[in-house]
Amino acid sequence: MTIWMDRLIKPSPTNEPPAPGAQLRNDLAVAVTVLFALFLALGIRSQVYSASQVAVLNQGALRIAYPERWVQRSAAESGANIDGSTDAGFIAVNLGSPSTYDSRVEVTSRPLSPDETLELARFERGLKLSSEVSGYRELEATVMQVLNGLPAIAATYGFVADPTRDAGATGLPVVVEGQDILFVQDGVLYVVSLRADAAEWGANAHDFAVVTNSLRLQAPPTVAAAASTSSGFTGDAQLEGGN
Amino acid sequence: MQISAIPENRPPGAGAARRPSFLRSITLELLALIIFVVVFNLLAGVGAALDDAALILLGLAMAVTPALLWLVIFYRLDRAEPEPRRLVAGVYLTGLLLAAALRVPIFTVIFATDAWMGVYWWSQLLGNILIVGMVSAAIVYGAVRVVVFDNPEFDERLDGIIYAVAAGLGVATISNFVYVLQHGGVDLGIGSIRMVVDTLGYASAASILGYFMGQARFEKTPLIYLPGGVLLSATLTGLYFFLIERSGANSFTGDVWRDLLVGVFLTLVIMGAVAWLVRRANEETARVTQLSASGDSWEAKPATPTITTSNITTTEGDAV
Repeated sequence: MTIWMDRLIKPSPTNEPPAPGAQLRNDLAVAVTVLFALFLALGIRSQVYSASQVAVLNQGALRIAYPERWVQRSAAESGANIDGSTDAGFIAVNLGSPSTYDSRVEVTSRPLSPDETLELARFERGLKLSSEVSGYRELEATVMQVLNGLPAIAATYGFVADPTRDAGATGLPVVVEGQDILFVQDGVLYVVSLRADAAEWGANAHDFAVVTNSLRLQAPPTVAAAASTSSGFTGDAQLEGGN
Repeated sequence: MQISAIPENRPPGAGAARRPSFLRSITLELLALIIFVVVFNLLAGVGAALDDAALILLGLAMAVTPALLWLVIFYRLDRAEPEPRRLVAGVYLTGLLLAAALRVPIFTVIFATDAWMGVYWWSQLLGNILIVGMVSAAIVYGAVRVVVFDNPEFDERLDGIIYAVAAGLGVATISNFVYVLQHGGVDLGIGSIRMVVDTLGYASAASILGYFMGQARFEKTPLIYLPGGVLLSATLTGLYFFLIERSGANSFTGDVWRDLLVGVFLTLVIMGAVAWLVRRANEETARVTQLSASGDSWEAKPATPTITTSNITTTEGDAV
């Protein structure tokens, strides 16, 4: 310790100023130190973004990751509208959301009915949401695939929520943006819903990526994706719209 | 700028009469800042009568006030050998402009600090050190290095602290500007405390880096000396804001006075340490100068037990 203090107070025995070349060397050393620190900070940020925990649903049939700092909640606690017939009801919310509407991931599941297809299930889901939430509007739907190549549909929508009124306070309603990922695994329809205040949707991209990466959500090898916001069922290759 | 140090080109002991003024100026500065806070808290009710534009203008004026108070008090106490005002102002403005140019791109665009830094205690601590502290230290270093480091007016070790604090105050001013603009004005009571707390944090951490720069200006230093100073300054900045943020006091809990007390305490500790380091460094300089003036060699009057190497003998612990 004494040595360190001596070096701090009297870094050299010469008591003469450094040459210009030595000063340039000092500048470079400082620049390298600062850049290294900032590079380290990028790594820490990446570590925070990717920190996750895993929820096991339906006796291990589905494993889904969500951000570690998010808190698992019951449907009643979160005020979520979850289909009463769900088996794998799972909700995790980000209590640190800047919005009054906490960012969240919800997972529901139910057995697929006979003769029911993924497209029909998605149509029913849209109808159900339009009756349950205020101002529901589907924005886009895309054919995707999850896990080991299972067909899936990713539907993006918006609606108006009133979280402060639900909590007994007064505040402005919130426009919520959501994305449902629907897929069928072993005869069970899973709906993974990602929702956030529309103004915070972009800021939640890293958190939602934890969920979608665990599902290995990606576009199918052949470009069969189509989007539609029109009503009516027009065929297998095109998805029907919502409301 | 002569506050307490012995000038490099003066006989030893010539500056002794002015030595106590460094800590006195810090104490006076803290008192002035507390008065600033008290006055604006007494006027807090006035804010309710102002519209948004007036609140923003008042907030911007408030954002500059702590920095100007600090500069004016230091300057008034520097009557014996004042630094040119243009240099002090130039360093302050350079720090301010660099912070204005770098803050948003680095904090918001590259790192998006709001989204992740507060998630865990360790991310908050490391983020404050590696981003907030490092960027602040880099700006201070850059401002002092570019504007004044090679200037003949930079003629004693303590000048490094004075100029670094001026640059740190520029960073603090931009931090306060951003706070005012993001909140569309400022609550006079809470805002004044928040601005003082930020100003104390940036200025006191900058003083540490200023000490290292003052040493490097007049002595050949090891390669890790200045990077060590940058790292220490960044660490202190990060710890300061980490402790402030984690002490639980913020605008929501309404316990901002605790922030102020924590800030004043930490500033006194840091500045006290800097004052001690400067005094020790100047004593060392005086000792060496005295030895040289009397024609003695380094071996003649060692202050502590000595270690002899091939051709140079120095105080214990010094590398040769």
